[in-house]
Amino acid sequence: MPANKKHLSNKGQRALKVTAAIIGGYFVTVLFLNAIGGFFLETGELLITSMYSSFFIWVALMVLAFLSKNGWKIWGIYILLSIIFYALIFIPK
Amino acid sequence: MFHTHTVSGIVISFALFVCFYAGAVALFMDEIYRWENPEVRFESVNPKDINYDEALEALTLNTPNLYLGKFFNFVPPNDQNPSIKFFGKLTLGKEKTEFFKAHINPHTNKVTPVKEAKTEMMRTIYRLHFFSQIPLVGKFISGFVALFFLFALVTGILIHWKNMVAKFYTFTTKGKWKQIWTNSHVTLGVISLPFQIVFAVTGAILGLVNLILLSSYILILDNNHEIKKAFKPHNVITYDKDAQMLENGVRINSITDAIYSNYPDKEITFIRVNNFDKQDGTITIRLDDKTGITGDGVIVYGRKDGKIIQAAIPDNKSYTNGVYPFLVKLHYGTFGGLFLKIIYFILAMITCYIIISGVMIWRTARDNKKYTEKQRKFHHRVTKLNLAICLSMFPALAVIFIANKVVPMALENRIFYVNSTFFLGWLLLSIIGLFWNDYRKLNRNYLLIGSFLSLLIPIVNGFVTGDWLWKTLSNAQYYVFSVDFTWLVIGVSSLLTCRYYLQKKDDLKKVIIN
Repeated sequence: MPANKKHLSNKGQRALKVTAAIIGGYFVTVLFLNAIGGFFLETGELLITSMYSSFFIWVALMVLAFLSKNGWKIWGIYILLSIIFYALIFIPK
Repeated sequence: MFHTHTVSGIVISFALFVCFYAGAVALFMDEIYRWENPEVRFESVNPKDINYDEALEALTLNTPNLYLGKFFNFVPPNDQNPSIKFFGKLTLGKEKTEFFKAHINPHTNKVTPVKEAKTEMMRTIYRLHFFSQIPLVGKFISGFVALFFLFALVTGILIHWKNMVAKFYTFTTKGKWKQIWTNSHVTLGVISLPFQIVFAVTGAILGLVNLILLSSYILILDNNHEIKKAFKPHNVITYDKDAQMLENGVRINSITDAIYSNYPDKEITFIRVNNFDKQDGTITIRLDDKTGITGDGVIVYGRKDGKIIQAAIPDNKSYTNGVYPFLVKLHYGTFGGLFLKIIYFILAMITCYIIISGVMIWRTARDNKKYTEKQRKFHHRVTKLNLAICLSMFPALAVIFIANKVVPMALENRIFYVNSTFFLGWLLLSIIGLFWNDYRKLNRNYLLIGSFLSLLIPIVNGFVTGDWLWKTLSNAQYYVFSVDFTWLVIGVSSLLTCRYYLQKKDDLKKVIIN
């Protein structure tokens, strides 16, 4: 049962979604864990927790990227989230 | 969504198959070692009776230029490998050192220096399962394969969610092939899902842990001290090269005795001694009971007074020190004895079947008029390549077992010959497969080749080492016997499958389970 043609996006959109899923997903994941984890956990605990939880978050973000209608939008959201988490890491210091 | 499951599945399919197939065999890496190396087919001793101090004395007598000042390791013997393994350093003139390896027979304390390893057959298969033969990036590739496997699992659940229950109950081996492939793909996929998620996550961790830690290293840490403390708590101690000499330290044996009386149900898996002859020297003991998921631990003793310096006590570890070994144990299946490993093996074979059936669904669903001739040819070629690589692994595995016995033990560089026979044999078998255009023929031929080769294995072992099946059974050498016997059963059952099943209707499932 191959997917119906009308649900498939064009090449440019597809490239955007794939990159958003893998690269964008990675950055949002690690920035999120290091930002939020820093508030609640000690460094050792944070390292260990992010080691295994990162893959679940990363995959969830991949799925979200492919579910989204517009590749530009999802890249925008992921970049925005990255900036917020990045700021959260460095502002408290 | 549908598309992403298919694309991610097809792209990683053969790599994932290799991971699971080689990994399933590699679960028994230690158990097969006695079969692999005829030199260790002697009776094992009770590990509690080993005298490490005497072994060390024998070593220093045997090799006068042994340098114990920096570090050395002992790997204690066990049922699977009955000799003591030693690893340390030699001094060659001024300031020049060289690594030194030796095996010690625990019965006689006879030291055999090891210039090069004699056999690494199972190690080759083990390393293949995370592509470590590919320099630098192999482990990362396997990590990403695991990550996309997790992605394929999640999307698979999402797309099959609506009719999962219906398909589960209508599972049948009758009807159209496309129907059988889809139903069994979904049904077996659901049954083995927990196992697969465990392996996707632990596999991704083992392959990509550095990628995740790198981010923390760049973002929040100044040095890698915290990382070391979390992952290798016993490795953070620093040693002073110019520390004062130590006259009479604690003997290694008094430490191992203390371990055995404190933890009677654990075994020591590794001993490391740092700065042996100095004031700040330590003796690090790793222990494991191999039956509990948190039953492993590391204890560091001071060489000067025998006091515990640092410890991750088994069954009582902190969160930070406990999670990583826990996940590693989940992946290696070393927490429930041999029975658990057999269950792991069966589940891994089911996963291999799901991978193959996924490819077959992909191909069967596209074999109609909606696609141009060119597209269909492409689909056919991809499927054929995939099947050729995957299904030829069974005969290729038999090839490495035979090569391990046929290449003489005395030959220099024999590991190289064994490994090249395996990889070239696998390549050759896959290339031959590309000439069989019919999937059924492809499957049957591989099965036939594989079954003849597997029947050869016990015979070759009997000829080369003199340990025939009946001899090993009556001598209670079960580790050797079970390998030969398993290959015999595999060979006979796949011959029978060919004879009675594949003549009429082809069933791939049988092949994979073999």
